[in-house]
Amino acid sequence: MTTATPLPELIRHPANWRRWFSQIFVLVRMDLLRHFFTRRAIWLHLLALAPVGITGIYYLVQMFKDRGGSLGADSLAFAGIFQILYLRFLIFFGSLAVGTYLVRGEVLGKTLHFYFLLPLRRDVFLLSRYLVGVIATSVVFIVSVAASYFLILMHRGSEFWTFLFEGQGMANLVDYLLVTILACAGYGAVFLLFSLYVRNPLIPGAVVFVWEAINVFLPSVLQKISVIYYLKSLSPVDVPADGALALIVVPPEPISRAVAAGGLLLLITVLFVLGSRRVQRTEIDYTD
Amino acid sequence: MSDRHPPAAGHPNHDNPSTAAALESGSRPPVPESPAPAVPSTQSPVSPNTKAIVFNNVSRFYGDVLGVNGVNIVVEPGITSLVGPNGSGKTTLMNMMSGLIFPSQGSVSVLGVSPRDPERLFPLLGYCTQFDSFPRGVTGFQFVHTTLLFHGLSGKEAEERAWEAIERVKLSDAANRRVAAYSKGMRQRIKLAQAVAHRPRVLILDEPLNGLDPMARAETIALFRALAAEGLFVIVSSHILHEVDLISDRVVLINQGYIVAEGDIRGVRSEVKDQPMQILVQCDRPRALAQELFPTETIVEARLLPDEIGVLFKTTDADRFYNAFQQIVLATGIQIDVVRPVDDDADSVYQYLIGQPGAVS
Repeated sequence: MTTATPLPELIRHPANWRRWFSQIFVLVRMDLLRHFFTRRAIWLHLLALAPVGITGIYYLVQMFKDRGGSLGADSLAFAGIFQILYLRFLIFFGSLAVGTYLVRGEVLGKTLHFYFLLPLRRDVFLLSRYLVGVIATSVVFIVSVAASYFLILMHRGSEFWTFLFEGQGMANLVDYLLVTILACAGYGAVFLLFSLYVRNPLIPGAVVFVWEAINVFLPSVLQKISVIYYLKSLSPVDVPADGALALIVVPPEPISRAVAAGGLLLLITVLFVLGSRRVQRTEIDYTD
Repeated sequence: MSDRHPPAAGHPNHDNPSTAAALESGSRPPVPESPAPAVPSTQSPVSPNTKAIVFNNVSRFYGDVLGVNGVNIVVEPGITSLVGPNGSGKTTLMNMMSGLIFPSQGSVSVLGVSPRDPERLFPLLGYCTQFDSFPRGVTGFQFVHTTLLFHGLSGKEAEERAWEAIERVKLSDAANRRVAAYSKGMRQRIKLAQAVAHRPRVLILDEPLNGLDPMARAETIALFRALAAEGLFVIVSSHILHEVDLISDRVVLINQGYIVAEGDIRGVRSEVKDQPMQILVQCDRPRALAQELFPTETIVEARLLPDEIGVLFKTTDADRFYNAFQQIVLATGIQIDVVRPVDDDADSVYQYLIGQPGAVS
């Protein structure tokens, strides 16, 4: 039998950033892998694989036929796919699937108390879960976006490689990947917050989807309370569009990329603060 | 069992008006059908306290449903058992101590720390919950080890502490197996290891003996005793009343969200005036002893045991009874083998105050 040790010996670091970072690291390491390899993650992988499959077919078709069009046209085609398919649908629903389950999953699994009984600030817990979600979705969609980018452009052979390494290609790709991360971060924050209030993820999913879709019709102030508003201005290649398509891809109030990134990060911070306040008041009630 | 009552260390809680009135009028305290609000305790002044766990006028409602109401208790070191039927509020009290739920009104403080401050609370407190779910895929060792990492220990230190705690609950052989494959008793033990691994000063155990085999129960009770001897606050809820007797230094009887009584079990029993105390005496001349005691008017009933090996007395004033008994024994030379109260255990007190026979379920 050992003797009870007084508290101060256990606390090697006072509550500070270093300790919080170390706790976040432990939590992320604990939880990240299962977000890639669980049954639930299959949906995320399928969402990410869908455009890769389509662009893969496109690549094969292009390899066996006369290559019409141009590299510029292909680049614009990818910009359209990225803005419409990835940002509006795939990353949105991928983040919905992951974000709404980050805390809710612990409630459903009756394991939330494990975290709430640790010497761990609840906002630190929430931040770690958020990071797990953002990393999980970002990794999957980064791979998907990069693969699609190559599959759409690569059939042009040396022209593409020159564009990639000597032209604007690599910069565009990096920008697409950064926007992908920001999109995962933005929608992840939205759905994490909603999941703290609403049990059924379909409800926040539908509400946010409609809100993002009608964003262009909203007053200027309300437009800023959306993720897509900022993402539109961050896309590295503008998609020339008219009519209904323009409503989807053209920013109604163009803003600089720095302002867009800053605005999105500010929005994420506000959403996270709201989530933190909520989780501080959260009680363990697995009957929900 | 002792032969003599210790000084009353506790009493039925007069915060509950129905109980207090019943005790004063000499009738069995009724089970409150519609609990009345409690008034502040007259026994212990409740104030912020760094040396105790303090519930200060704590109420908790789940919507319109009462969880606990007007709870004023001060828990001190040693083993304190929360006893009451299902839904009486035991787990609610435990969850409020650990910040899993919050009071609707009033305040809880654990050694001066608010349960809303996990960074300061959980180095002090270990909680073995009744929830039987674990993070997915963890082994027993990982479950304990990971917890220790959050306490600021290095990986190596955490590993040493984890093994120490696992050995303490005798689960070393299974430590590297997944918890999902554990039996109920093994899960109880690994939860216990996790709760004690960081060497807390307060240990909360919600039905900790559930699922344990008799040997493991005995070992676990010995562990609780050892922890209490080290000065820990050990708070246990159990529905097995004879184990409550074995474990507890104090009991808190709770029913329908109200604290019915609290304190040392014999002290609580001595305050239940409406139920005559039963004292068993085994001696060489039980009939003569009974005849001598009746005229002293300290007993209300005497019943000879089969084969006249002794006599069971009922008295409403144990102190007067023992005085008269002592004088008679000295005067008559009756040879006494055993003198033992037979209804100052948790089961009897529970029946008298809460009114349900047998084990609480």
